[in-house]
Amino acid sequence: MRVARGFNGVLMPIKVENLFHTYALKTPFQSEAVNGVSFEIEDHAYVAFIGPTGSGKTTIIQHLNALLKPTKGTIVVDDFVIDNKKNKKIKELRKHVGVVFQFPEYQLFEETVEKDVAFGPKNFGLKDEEALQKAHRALLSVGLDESYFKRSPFELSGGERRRVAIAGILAIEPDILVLDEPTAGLDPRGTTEIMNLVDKMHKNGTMVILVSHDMELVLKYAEKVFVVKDGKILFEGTPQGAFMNLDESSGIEVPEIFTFAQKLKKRGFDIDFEKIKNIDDLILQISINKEKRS
Amino acid sequence: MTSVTFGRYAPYNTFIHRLDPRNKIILMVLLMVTIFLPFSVWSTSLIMSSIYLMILVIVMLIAKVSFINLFKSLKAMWFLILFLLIVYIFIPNPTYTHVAFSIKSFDVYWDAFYQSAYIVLRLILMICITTILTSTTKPLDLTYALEWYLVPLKVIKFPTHEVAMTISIALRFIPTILDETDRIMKAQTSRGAEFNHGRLFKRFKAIISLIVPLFISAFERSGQLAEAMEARGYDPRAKRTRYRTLKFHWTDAVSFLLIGAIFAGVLYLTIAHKDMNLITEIFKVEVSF
Repeated sequence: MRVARGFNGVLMPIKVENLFHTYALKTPFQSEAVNGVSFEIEDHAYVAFIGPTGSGKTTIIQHLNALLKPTKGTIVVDDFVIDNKKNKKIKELRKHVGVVFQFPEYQLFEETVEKDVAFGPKNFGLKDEEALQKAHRALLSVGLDESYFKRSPFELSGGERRRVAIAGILAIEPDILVLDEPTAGLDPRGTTEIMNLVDKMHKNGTMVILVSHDMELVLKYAEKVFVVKDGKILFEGTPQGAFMNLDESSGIEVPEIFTFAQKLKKRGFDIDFEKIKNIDDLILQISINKEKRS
Repeated sequence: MTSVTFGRYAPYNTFIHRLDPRNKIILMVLLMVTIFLPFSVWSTSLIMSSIYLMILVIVMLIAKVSFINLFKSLKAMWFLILFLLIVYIFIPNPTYTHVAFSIKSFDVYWDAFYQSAYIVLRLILMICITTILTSTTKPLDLTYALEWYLVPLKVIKFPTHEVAMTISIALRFIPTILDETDRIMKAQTSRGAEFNHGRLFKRFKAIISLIVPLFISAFERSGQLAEAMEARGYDPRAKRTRYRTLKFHWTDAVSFLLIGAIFAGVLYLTIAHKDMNLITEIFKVEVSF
């Protein structure tokens, strides 16, 4: 079990206050992406940002490691404050908040897989050998064994390349892992592997922030969701709560299992929605009902 | 990408935006030639350049060209000004006549200062003109106009359509590649790469980590684009019609006549060497040098 270190050896919660972000400010291309968003994320949490395309999810999460500076408002990660002023400690922050971008396989550039993964740790001041060690550990954790280490990332398959790219962030050993659509374009097996890996990271004490359009995954893994629409947070709570309370105008598609459970409820089943996260939970609920009836 | 907004098309709807791009290209060429027409006396040249600058500033105000970006690009010219000054001061020129001051036995001439000031002024004028063109004309319209000008070359079997298509594809993908650059830069920044500060070697490495993925995706994209075009039956030799046709309006005629008149006037003055008298007589300026 790895305990989150934080800047001063303490926990790393996130607190965002009244965040605004406008792209291309004061030009004809000006567009408001985030309009006054406030939220808090507790340490070790597993949260998901969901919402339609262009709702501002990606913009919000890019503030968490100061890739974007807020137009207005503040973000506090542990005791690190991000606002629209210059800050010299940004690199230190980025060591603690790892962001995996959409289609991260397009960021690979080195000759060998291990060198590419070691790029991050080296940038954060590790010596070559240490960085390679961390790279190897990260690669093994994403399920790529020694035979991959010396290969060129460009001869790998799409799924393998994505895992290399994710390993590139994991090798930095961040306390907060932010993933923007990590499963987009992957086959079901690749999706399961990556999500299991992320779940393992979470169980080891890493805070996970997930952006996804795959509601099944959100229901299965996330403890809390933020529903984002038009740069505002529409709903904050459990995934089950979101699926029950929001209608189609929010742009959220309710997962099949959940729809199934809702239909069972209409037929007179006694179902505790809050307990449903995957198929097994649903089966459990149905068997409880069966026992009660007999 | 705030650093590349300079010269970018700004979607306003002023009458300069609505001018025919073919006309705008001609006007740009005329203005540039006008700027480079030499007067026989430096003071006349400077005064005329200032007048051009005033006219261009007015045009820029009408066309709503962003001055902030223009100034930003001019800031980078300090180095050029310094360089020009050094060159003009230290390279001896027998036509220099007016000594400003002497350091020991080395004479520094006023002419060196005029020369560099004149060059810088003309450069600023050039930047203004091109900015007006690019920020009021859609890149695609510019290529259409260019294609139109290339049409006579068809006689010598010059592939005008192919060239225009290549240019318009290149222009079309500039914003896409800029977005891609932004994305990859952010991804590498998340991995601790530093593009703006840090040691030279590290910065070099950071740039490699940007350029390699960019090239790979650009090559992939070009292959995909070629396939998509072929799938839709694209044939460069086929005759085609346009969705947008270029039209010459009365505003085009007026602006052409106006700038044409300025050009013709300046041309006459410089060729006939009337310019010296003109300045002394009209402005009553005592040209003492």
